[in-house]
Amino acid sequence: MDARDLDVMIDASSQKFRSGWPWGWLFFAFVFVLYLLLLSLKPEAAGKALSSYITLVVKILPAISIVFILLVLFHVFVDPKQVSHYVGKKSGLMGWMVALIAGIISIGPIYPWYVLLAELKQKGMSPSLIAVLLYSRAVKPPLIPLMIHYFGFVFTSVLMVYIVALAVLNGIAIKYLFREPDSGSDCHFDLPAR
Amino acid sequence: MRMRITVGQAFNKTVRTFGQAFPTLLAVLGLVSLVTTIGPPQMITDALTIERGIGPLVGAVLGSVAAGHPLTSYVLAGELQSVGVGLATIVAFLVSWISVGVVQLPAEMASLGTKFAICRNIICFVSSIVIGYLMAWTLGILM
Repeated sequence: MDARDLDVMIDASSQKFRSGWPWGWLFFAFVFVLYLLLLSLKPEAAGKALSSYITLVVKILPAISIVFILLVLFHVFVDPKQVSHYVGKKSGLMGWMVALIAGIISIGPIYPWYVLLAELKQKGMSPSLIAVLLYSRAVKPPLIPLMIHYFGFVFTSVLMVYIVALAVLNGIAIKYLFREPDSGSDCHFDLPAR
Repeated sequence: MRMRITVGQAFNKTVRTFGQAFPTLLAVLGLVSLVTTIGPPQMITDALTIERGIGPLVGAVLGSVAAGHPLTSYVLAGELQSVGVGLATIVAFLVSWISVGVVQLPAEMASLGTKFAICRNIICFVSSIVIGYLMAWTLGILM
């Protein structure tokens, strides 16, 4: 399978994800109906809830705007398929670092990543590295401003450190569960022909 | 890193991502406002049993079964914290939302293998509770 086939699979997976039921809008409609119900039963409470809602939305708008800009930049500069060059058999410590960083900078829905990781697994990516990559996705650089907005800088920094540490521990746990041999420290990646 | 797509394409892609996440985000904010207006914060705090025992477990279960953009989880967790839900519960909820995927489990099993998907999700579930307690302990020292 070449890079073009992989592109087609990932796009198809993304399309499948997008073409599902509009659960978000259904949920929004459900909440709207709840407001209407409250309006008919307790108009004063509905007014208070609506006022609190508008305050909340206005409060998070600046942070959401920064998230939007960061997401655009990540889409421009980060190519998930570049990861495939560095996590092949016997990728050693470098493979762990790349899996960790790839997870951190990966954005978007998980489904295209399953396709990519299944393909990388076929090419020799170990389950432990897949586990590291999937866990480190919990660090979301574009969303960090929003987290700082809600929880503060110290909370965000400490949480990011713990997530990275636990991502590595998860990888080690999977490594032992799947009885993987030591991958060595040499970096013979399965480099595709460029 | 080479430039993979143009800024225009990236902008459209981000608009699509937001288009999917925004209705849920707005609905969650609406629900939070509704619940905090009708039910006093103390009632919500008590309902979530917080740091006393099973709070982080409840947070991790809720985060595991929830699906949607992480943006929504941050906003929801932030609002829950503002009404008094404990730190360990909040962290377990946040981390499990993004690392455990009950809804995505069939897709993960099909792509990466049943044993791998189940083991990974169980480990991530436990990790989210561990991080919850670690965060509460660490921030207790730092702040």
